[in-house]
Amino acid sequence: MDIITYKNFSWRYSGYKGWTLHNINLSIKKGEFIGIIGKIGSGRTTFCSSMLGLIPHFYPGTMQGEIIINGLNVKKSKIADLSKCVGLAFQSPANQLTGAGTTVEEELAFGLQNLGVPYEEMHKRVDDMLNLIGLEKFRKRSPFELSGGQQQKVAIASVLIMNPNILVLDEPTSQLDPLGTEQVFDLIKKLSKTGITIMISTNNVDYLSRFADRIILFDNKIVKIDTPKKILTDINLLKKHSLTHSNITEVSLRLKKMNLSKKELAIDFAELKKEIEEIMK
Amino acid sequence: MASNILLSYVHKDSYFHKIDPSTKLLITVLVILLTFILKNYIHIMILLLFIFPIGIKSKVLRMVFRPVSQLFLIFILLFIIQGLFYPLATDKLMDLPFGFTLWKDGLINAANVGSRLLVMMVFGFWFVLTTHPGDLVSSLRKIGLPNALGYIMITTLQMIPRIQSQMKTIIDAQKSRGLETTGNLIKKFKSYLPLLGPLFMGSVQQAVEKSMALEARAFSSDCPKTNYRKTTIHLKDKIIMICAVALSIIGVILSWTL
Amino acid sequence: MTPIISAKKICFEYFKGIKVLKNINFEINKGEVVAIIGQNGSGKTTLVKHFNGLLSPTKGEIIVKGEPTLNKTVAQLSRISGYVFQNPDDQIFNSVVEKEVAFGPSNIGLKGKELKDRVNNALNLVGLFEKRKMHPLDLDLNQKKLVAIASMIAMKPDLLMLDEPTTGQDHAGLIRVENLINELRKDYTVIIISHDMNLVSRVASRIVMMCEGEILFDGEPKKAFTKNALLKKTYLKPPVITELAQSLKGFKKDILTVDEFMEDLMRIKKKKK
Repeated sequence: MDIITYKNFSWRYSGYKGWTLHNINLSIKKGEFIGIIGKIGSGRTTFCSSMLGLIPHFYPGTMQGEIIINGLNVKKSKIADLSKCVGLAFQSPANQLTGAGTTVEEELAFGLQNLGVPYEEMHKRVDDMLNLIGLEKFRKRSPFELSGGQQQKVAIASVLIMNPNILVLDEPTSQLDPLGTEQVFDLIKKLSKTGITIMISTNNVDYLSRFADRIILFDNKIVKIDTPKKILTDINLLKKHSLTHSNITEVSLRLKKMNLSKKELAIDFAELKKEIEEIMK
Repeated sequence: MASNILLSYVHKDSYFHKIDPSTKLLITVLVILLTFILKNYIHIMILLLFIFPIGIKSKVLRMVFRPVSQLFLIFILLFIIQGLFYPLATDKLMDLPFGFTLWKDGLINAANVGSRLLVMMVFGFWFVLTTHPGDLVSSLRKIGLPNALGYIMITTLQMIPRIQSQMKTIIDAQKSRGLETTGNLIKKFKSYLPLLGPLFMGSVQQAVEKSMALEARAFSSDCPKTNYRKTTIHLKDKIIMICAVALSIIGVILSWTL
Repeated sequence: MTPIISAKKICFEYFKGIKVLKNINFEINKGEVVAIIGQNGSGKTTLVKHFNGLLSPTKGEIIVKGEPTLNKTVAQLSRISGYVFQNPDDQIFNSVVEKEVAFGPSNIGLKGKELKDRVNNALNLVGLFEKRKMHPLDLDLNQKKLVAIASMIAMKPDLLMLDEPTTGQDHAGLIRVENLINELRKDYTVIIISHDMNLVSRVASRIVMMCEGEILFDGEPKKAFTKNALLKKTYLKPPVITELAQSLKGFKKDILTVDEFMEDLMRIKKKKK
């Protein structure tokens, strides 16, 4: 069953000439892990915002076409109702934190209060979530005092706790160190296994190659939707859109050029390792 | 320096920390109303005396007065400006050099405004220092006030420290580009101009992003809201509320009949 | 030769008792490109903010070009050490790109043709000369970062410190920053703070690893990424290509680039024949 459907969707911000997103057609199945890539200004953030209805409801502009999320027509639904099925984590975690709570636990509980979750259940869900993200000991601290990585986790958890079917993440790791990045991706992977649909905008292709079912390449329109393998090895396509293939793929490519291997281009660490080990035999 | 004006909830184990936020809010609102109703600044200053037992019992008396001392200059300015330039002045106190006149009614007006401001601030600070923001929202909801009201109160308080730290970053960024921020007043004023743009833009952007963050968390959903923190209005809260209202009425009567 | 910056046994506490920097000794000489790496919160930014006087050490001493910084203002030190903040929105306030870039040099007294030349040169260097008449707010994040860097280059300090120059950049932005650093190294001494190990391994002549306010390693990039225990302790990861070489039998453990990797592969292959 399709959980996300875009039909001829276009969006133009008021005051701008061109379409930020043009003629988007897309259907995503429940439980898919989708990577969203594209250069700066390619409309990825706008796309993420549209799944929660921030576009068209929050920003002024012109919309064409139709978006159906979890059976709800975005144009006809309130953001508050969409937020019950879509969790959107913004690019900067500091912006995600509403400041409505003075501590991490209250920040997490904020959405549940708004949904009218009963007291006992709310406390249980906050406890469980703190456990899942491993921030148990920070529950009484102010979220603004945490490190970037911890803030990012609180930001993701704060929407996750509302039990969305779809988790949308806009560049969740751009400000994180390598360890923080790995932790966030591990968490997302864990969530994906529980059946949540993941839509993640990131140019970190090393992780996407390992986790994503499909990748969408944006450039104010959908340039291509395909498997990580097909997209991340299409070197010319990536180059055309100011993106690049990983060093893994580069090594694999050179092996082919030197006629050392005839396998298809590798995108994954383990895959390349195996390829080289075979050559070296 | 600036960070000392910062006010937020301070956890203490005191009688007033434990009573319901609505009770404290009622006391604060009554005090503010009284500052406008009471006859003159002497009566308003008598009202100020109440902060001492309350402040001591709440274990925050010194903290309540700390920000006041930093705003001392404003009070002095108030007296100078009102004393010299009160527009409705008729009652001359004395002539000053350079053709200035010190007006008695100007000074009285300053005393009225100043005492009102002082009492409002002191009780306002007391309220903020002793009331956990989460409890406040929970309690306001219980007595049927709109959800947004409590939220506005909390975020306004939390925004101050964020704007301050933002300000510091912006100042540092311009200092790093050779901006001299020391020197006389005019030079100082001029040097702060480049800071306003980024601060303003940053604040606007932050406000927009915050409201999106709220939307993303179902803030405007129609269903009945629940609370993470439990608050209950006990019998003692009710007694305090009745006493506070009664005292206020007596105070007003005394102020205008004596 | 006097080092540009010399930090002697410096300690720093934001609040009493909370040590952000612990007994740091650090020197940087003319012409070096030093990368400071470490986890979020390890003290990288705190350290470099000492070099232009934004912060003063609680203990210890900072010597800038042979002179102690104690009684100098940030504005005075900005002629020697230029620090570019992470977020360009914190500094950009002018309505035209070239005016924004001119702000720093005019603060230190430059005027007329010389000022104009400096601005144009800086904009040329970052590749934004064509956009000099634009409103900075109409630029994308990549370009705004470059404006911020240009506005510091125009002041011609001896030392340029770039804090996270590549966060939020797409690939085109990354390449531009890398090229820029390679251009800058001809005339400037450079410090970069970065999480991007690929960038660091390619441009740095020296790597400083920080962890919880201490410097745990200070030396060549080749050596830095072979210290696996140390990397683990500082929560860092070597570049993917280094990891790959390290996981394969027979390969050198200190490979940093794809070219080196392929070279080594051929070497091993030949040997086997």
